[in-house]
Amino acid sequence: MHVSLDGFVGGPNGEMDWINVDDDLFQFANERTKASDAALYGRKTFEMMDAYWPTAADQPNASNHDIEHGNWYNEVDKIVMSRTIKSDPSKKMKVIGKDLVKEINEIKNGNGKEIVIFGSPGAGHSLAQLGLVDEYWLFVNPILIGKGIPMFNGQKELTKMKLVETHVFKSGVVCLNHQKL
Amino acid sequence: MHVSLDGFVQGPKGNGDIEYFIVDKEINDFASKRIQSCDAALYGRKTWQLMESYWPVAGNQPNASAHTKEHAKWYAGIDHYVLSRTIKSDPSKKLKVIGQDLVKEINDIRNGKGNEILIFGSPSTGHALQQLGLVDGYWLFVNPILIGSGTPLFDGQKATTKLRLVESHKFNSGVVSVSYDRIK
Repeated sequence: MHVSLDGFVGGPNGEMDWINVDDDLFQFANERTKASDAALYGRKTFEMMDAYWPTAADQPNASNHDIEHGNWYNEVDKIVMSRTIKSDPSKKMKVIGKDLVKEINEIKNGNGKEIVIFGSPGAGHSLAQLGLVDEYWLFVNPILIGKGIPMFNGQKELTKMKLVETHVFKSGVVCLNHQKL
Repeated sequence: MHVSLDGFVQGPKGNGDIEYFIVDKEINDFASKRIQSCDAALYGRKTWQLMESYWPVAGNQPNASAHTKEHAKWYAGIDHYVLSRTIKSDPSKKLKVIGQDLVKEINDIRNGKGNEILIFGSPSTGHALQQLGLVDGYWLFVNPILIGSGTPLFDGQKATTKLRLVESHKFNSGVVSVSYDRIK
């Protein structure tokens, strides 16, 4: 998750133009993403992703990142939190949201390796409130944006974490990886 | 400034609810080195009173640690600026009260011969200075905990502010120190 130093993941209208993404960061994120075999999105983020990634690797001008992430996207299970859209096995897409705790725990207890949440602040807040987030990967950008969509919201309980890894990028972005204790 | 991963400098109980933060020898040693380069400290009135009730005598206690002695010596040598409308300056304590015209007063201090002013704790003072664009840098100790509610580190910052990462350091406790300068 890209986050400003003051804790926002998007501007007041979801703006993300302040986020620093360069090859350095893409490469790091790609390596990390490969360890996951399922992605979880809110409906809006999923629609954005699904409009781009299924064909991104096939474009004539596709970058290495497009090819790698495009292939990964097509292979993984996509879990989408929504009350309006329907599951679509042909896309390896499964809609959840009727009973999040049960549904997420079933996925966690399945034979998959790891589920990664991309963007989707609304989905992230719901899961954090239910205590379903085991780990955070934050890319802290060297900027204060003052207002917008907060990264953490409605988390009620005190949650102790363990720092697993940090990585500093040339751009001044600092990656922090924490696991829930 | 000690801050939780979710951006709080104090928990929901308010004044001094800071039991969540890890301050061990490794962090004290690291911070001491950095603090030596500052010759002025700025506080809100509440933090100042807390500091003043401890540091002037802390170094003389029979069981004072090396860190305590070092910090007490530093404390005695520097200028103390306190934002307050109720207390008065006291030259014998090197205490100067400000707050009538913050922008002018802070800029006067900046333009003086001192090298750096450090704000300790004092979240509401920090907010007031941020809102006036008077904070040039941030030095944060990010603690591996989510507190959920309390006093936020950043509040009322209106404009987008670009920063430059100056340094980052990882401690054994899982605290990560990051320091930033404001890009002007």
